Amino acid sequence: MISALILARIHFAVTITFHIIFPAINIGLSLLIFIWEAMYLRTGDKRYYHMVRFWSKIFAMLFGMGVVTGTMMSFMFGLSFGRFSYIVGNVLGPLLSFEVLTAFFLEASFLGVMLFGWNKVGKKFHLFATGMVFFGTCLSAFWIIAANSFMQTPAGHEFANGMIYARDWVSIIFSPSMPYRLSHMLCGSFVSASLITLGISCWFLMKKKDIDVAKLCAKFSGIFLFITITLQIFLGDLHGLNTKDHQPVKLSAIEGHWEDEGESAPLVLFGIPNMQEERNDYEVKIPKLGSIILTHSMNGKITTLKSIPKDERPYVPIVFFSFRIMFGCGVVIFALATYSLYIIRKKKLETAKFFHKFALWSSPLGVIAVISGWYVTECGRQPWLIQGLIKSHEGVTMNLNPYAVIFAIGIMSLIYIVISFFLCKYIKSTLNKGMFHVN
Amino acid sequence: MDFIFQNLSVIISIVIGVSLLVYVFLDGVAIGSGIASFFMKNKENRGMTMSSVLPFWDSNGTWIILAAVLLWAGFPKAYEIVTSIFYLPAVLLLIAICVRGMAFEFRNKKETHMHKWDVAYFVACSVIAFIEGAAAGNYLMGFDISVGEYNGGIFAWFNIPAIIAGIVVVVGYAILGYGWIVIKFENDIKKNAIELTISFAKILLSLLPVLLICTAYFIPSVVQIWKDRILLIAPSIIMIFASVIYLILKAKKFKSDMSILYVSYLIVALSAATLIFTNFPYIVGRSISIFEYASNDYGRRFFMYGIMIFIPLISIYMCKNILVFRGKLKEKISY
Repeated sequence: MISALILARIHFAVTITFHIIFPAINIGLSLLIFIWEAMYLRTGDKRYYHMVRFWSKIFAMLFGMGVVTGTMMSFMFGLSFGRFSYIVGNVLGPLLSFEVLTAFFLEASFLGVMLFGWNKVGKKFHLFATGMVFFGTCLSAFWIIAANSFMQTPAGHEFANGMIYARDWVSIIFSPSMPYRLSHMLCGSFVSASLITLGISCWFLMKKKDIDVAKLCAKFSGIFLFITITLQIFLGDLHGLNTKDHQPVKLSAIEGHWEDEGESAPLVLFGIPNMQEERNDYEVKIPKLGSIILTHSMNGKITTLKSIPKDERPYVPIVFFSFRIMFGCGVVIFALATYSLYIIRKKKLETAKFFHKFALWSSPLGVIAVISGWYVTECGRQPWLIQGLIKSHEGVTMNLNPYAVIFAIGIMSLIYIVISFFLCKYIKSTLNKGMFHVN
Repeated sequence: MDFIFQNLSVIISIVIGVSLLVYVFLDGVAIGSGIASFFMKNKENRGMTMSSVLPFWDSNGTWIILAAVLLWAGFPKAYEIVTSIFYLPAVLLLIAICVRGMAFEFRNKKETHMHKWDVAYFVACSVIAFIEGAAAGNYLMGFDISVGEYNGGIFAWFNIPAIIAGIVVVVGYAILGYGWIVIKFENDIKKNAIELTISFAKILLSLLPVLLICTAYFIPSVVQIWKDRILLIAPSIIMIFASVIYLILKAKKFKSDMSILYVSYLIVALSAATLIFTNFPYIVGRSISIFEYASNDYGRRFFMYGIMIFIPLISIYMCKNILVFRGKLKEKISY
């Protein structure tokens, strides 16, 4: 029988994996919509108006799904990890309360105006509402990432009587990994959203529909994508260095670094981490490169997995492969972004058939990268629930009935499949209606 | 300021209670209109009714999330126990919330699917109302908690008083929903809604005694509490009955469109008061009071500032939202 812990973790993973898709797109998409609306007000160019109206329709559906899957999240902590909710309630409870108070109400209230208020409020107030929706999504990311970063690199707390007490809120909120994680996630969202807007506008170009609007949208998205992915690679490097300092075991799992070989660490390009024999099978590696990338010096050393007790190591393969999936996505996205700059410069946006296909098929890569990035950071923290303080098995709900969890996993997976099905279907029908907004 | 910090437990409980009440006032209306519209004569009115709550449903739902996280922040132990008791109903509630959200977003996308989404929407709204009612019923009953841990099985929440409470809330939400429909529409829809209000109020009037008798029969401890606090409980219950009867007799003669909703709000508030009068000062069952198991004061002070700053701010943009979309609804809205 699988333990209640594993089931609880699977349940949580399913719920949060499905949820993160929506914020990952929505934060970036609301920024794009806001910029386009501002451009429309400034230039009076109707094409921006059509872009705003078109993407608002898709944003509305995605936001709605983000809200309902997010409601699930607010109960999931207690459902799967009740003990944890109690132990850490003094810290995470207030952080999430702030998320609801500052962010959720802001975005939910102004969303009504943003989507349905076109003929009811002035243009400037409407722009303000759109900006508030974007600001709300950012605030929401701020608080939830503060909470997550506390679990990764706790600070400003005291652990006594089996409960964590808050001592210094500034240290708790801005824990050592928080600024890096937050900027990496926000930028990841900008990348994911602009990839989707680029991909879909290329679909329109491919079908030769609404070319005027689609061209502007593709051009804007391409440039925006290039800026954000370049920034993202830089931020990712910083985040990695931060992980090396504060969570060295996670980094070793990412690198598949079991033991030191000579003076420097190699970079393992590929391999299959073997937990039993404590090595990588079928390893392909480049000597010294690991030291250069991770310590920015020729002979820097990183923590070896073998130096950590067996029961304090994460399950290496998940961390190892998730990282490579994320990194691979990043490389492809960067290639696409550079290519799109070239196409835009050469003014070939309408005719570049290969580019259209490339962009269209790459549109989900940002979301895939975000999800696998989260797998790296969450699975890399295991077996800890809060790094160095509480292990996962200590946080699981007391007397959890395994059958209830299996039922919950089953029915929630089912509803997620149903949601995905209808979402794809109705996004497709929105696309078929075209980018021009009638009236 | 000092007064607030010295009575944090009471104040946080009040804030949790108020957000739940606001949730029922706002989302109870939206959920209720989903139940209510299903019984209306003209099927096209369902889409109109749904349109009328479309700009609000996101922010309405946020109030119950606020209550959940405030419970977590203020009373971590209570949050742990509540989520383990309500494991199954919480999962079902979340599924229903998902289906409702899908219906909102997807119903108007294709003509041919409308009817299916209407049914899904009605079922989802009813399930949400039922589970919220059952939760209230369980709150009234108390739970099998000893030494701070919950001992009941996963189906313990599904008991007779809770089932009846669930049905009562479904009917109650429907009445709230009709109150909303009367405000938002004119002519036939309005007339139809008033008639249905009376029918549902009659159903409510016949269910309430059943609920009271069941509660007294299955939970003898409640009877003792009611005897001890008779001066608080008796007037509330009598006023609930009086309000329902008033609704049945007067609904057709109200001059203002707002009256039905106001009377329904009064019924909700009185029911909430009855619950609190029965259970104070306990937060889960009759063993964990708000004065034990509270989280530490430094943590709570921090979010108390948040509450004091942001609740007024939230009220402002909520009012703005309501003002922007006020008035009778003439045509379906979409984006």
